[in-house]
Amino acid sequence: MGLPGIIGAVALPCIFFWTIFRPAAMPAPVVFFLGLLQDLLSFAALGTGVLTLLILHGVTLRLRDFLVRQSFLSAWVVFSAFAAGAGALGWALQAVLGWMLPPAAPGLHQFGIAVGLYPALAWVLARLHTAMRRAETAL
Amino acid sequence: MIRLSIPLRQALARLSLPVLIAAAFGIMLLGKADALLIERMRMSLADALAPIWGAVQEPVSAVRDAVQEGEALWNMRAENARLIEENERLRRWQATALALEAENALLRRQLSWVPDPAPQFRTARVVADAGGTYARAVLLATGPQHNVRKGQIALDERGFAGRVTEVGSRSARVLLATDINSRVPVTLETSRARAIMVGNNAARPRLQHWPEGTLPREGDRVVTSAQAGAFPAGLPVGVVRWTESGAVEVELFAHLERLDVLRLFDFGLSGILPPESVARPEPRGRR
Repeated sequence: MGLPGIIGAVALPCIFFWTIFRPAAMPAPVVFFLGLLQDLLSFAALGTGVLTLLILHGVTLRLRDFLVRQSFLSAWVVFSAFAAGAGALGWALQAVLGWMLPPAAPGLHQFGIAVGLYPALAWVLARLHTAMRRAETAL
Repeated sequence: MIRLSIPLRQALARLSLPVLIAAAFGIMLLGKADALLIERMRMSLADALAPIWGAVQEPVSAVRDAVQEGEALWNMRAENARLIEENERLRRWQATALALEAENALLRRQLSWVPDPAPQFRTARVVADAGGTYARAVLLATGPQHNVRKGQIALDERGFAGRVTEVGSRSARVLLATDINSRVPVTLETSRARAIMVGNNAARPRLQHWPEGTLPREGDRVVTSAQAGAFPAGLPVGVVRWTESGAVEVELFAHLERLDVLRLFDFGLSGILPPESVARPEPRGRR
């Protein structure tokens, strides 16, 4: 697992978090751009990362009203389910575009790293979020 | 900034996601239809980011070096004993090799043997793992004035690592032997049987298509084969290993997990390259 794999695993929690708590800062075009950047940096078939991230963004946005009220633990569980879905989608797209069955292990690694990184990233991002909100209310 | 009415803005926001998802499918089709354009985009991005990757790599390699230093100090005693023992063994081999070299020279004199020309190579630093979840590749910073070409062969200090697949103006991408798209014609050194080494994104590529009747043996040395004109014969690749499930894998000599520098050899071979890369003009400075 090289650096690009970790980029993919970091992008998932960040997009999930900001879509829930600050959807104005993470609109769909930004997600699109991030996915494109991720695809160009890695050797993956172009478009797979874009589609995966956009669908994650869309589903999260749809469930936002529900997710924003959840505790950290249940958000983590929901995120794990989403990350598993994203991994499965990425694997399927890779299989269709490359027309051969890719091994499942790298996708599982990425899923594991994304789920494992979520608490640490969420902690940092939550601090950032409260700081930003405090700054906004102070204005 | 254009002022839009609130319902219109909401409608636009609601529309943007489906439109972008459609665009993602469009990009996928584009990637399938025009691989060359995508490749050029990738390499221009890689060119732009190569210095940044290099800078990011500095602290990473510093930490890694420190850890390795610590491990080396820890293991020094055992290492020393092992080296003394190995040195003894190598001395015996050296004597054998010198004897064989003399004999070889003697025999060559009788055959008017034409020696192979020494290949040119240049060394480039690995600045990033350019792979991803489903690929094994590395990005090299080659500097602006280079003569790296597609199809050149990358070796680390121990053995075969991969092949240059994409070349930008100051970076190049090397597809490693472990990538799922990698197919390398190889020869088993003891039986001289030919086979294909197939990458599977795991640490050890599989061995396939060996001739019937000559089963690869555990511990056989694997070297490249000159078949198909893509590789010169006899580059060291690895050692045959049987897995518990009965598959034949190659344990590579090259340490692909931590590549620092790669040597890019130009053997002047252009076998199995896509037509556009062969038709492309040669970079300056060659011939």
